[in-house]
Amino acid sequence: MSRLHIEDLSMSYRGRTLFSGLSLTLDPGQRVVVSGSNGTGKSTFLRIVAGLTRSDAGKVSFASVGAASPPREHLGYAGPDVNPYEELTAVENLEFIARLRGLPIDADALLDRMGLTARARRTPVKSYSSGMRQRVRLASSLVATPPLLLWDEPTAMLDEQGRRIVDEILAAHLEAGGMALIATNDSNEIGRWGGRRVHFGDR
Amino acid sequence: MKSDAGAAGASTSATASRWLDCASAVFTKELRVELRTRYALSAVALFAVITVIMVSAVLVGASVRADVKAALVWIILLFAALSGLSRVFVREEEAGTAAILRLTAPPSSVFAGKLLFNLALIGVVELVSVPLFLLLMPVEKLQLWLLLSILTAGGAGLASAATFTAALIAHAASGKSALYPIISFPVLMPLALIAVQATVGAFDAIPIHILRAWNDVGVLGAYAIVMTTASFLLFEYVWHE
Repeated sequence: MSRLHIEDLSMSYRGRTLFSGLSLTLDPGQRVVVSGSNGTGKSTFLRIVAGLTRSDAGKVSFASVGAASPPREHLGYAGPDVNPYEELTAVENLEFIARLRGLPIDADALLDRMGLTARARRTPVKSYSSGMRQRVRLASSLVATPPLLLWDEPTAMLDEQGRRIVDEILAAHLEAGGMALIATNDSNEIGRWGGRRVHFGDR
Repeated sequence: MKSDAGAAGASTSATASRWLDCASAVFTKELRVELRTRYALSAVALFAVITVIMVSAVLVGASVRADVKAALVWIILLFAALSGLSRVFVREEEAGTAAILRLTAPPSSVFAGKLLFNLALIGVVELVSVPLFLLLMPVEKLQLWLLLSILTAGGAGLASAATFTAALIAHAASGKSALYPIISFPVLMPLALIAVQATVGAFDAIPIHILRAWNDVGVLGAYAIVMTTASFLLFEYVWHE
């Protein structure tokens, strides 16, 4: 399993420095909670690690790969800025992602694990509640069991059962040697996740 | 040495197969979404059909020259394309689904899947609107094979240019609907001028015009090839934020 290296990452937005010189190493089985209030750059940080946004400076790499940024198949991203296709069912959404990743998938089993009923899994996502959509987002990040999970507010809109499922999935992921970067602005959630913490403060 | 070359060949073949599968997955997804919503088909096909009917109703009984008819055909096709072909990328950005593609698929395969879908869409529009146009505004000495060749080559260039400009404007924070025709206009203008000139030959059947029209089919084909190649080369820079 690879180790995630983040070196001297800097980012500013419209003249405001979000973070600078941010370095972090994540070993297999570790998680880091990224905390901070709204607009401090948590989501931007996760998007940079995912390769969705370019940083002003710095490098994100996997030790065993040596790539300039983590290869797509090494990460699973779930955030409020990534939505499932509304016109497709949850099963079709996951099957589409698995096909793009070139890997087989048992979408029903994965969605079952996320607590989505068989009937819901066959219904277009547009009829889902926000909590059900969040479960599909999280399930999408787990397609092909990537070693690095990047979760931005993973428990937002989830009920207690959903939060428990997320805890179980994360525990199993870390137990299997996976890594996770979790962003949250909810102080209750920070304690819940445990592990190391990086705080993004107001500047 | 031999086994190294064999391994490299197998790896290239696997990469090509994966690329094709990604492009096919994107195309199938577009088709599935379109069949369930009919957003693009409604916009493009209805625009084309309604415009053809309106034009023929306005010009009923009038003697319309071949060059005017040729211009009308391509004006209808161009505006129909502008009304719907941008959706393939704009919808992804507005719905927040584009990141799924960015995180999982090679950029060029995304473009290929979207281009294939727009080709299919423009093909359907041509299949519906051009026969309807010819039915309502008959052409006596129609050169059918020439017209089919013009529509094929012109449609390919139109789909390619429209797909790439759609990717260009999809990131814009606002004013996408205004930006699309503005950016498309200079890119599509040469295609429109050549396509109209060629279609005149297919409609008036004057030997010298037919000869020139076949040459124009070659130019339209070259436009489609150049536009598609340039789009594939540039798409990755446009696609990533």
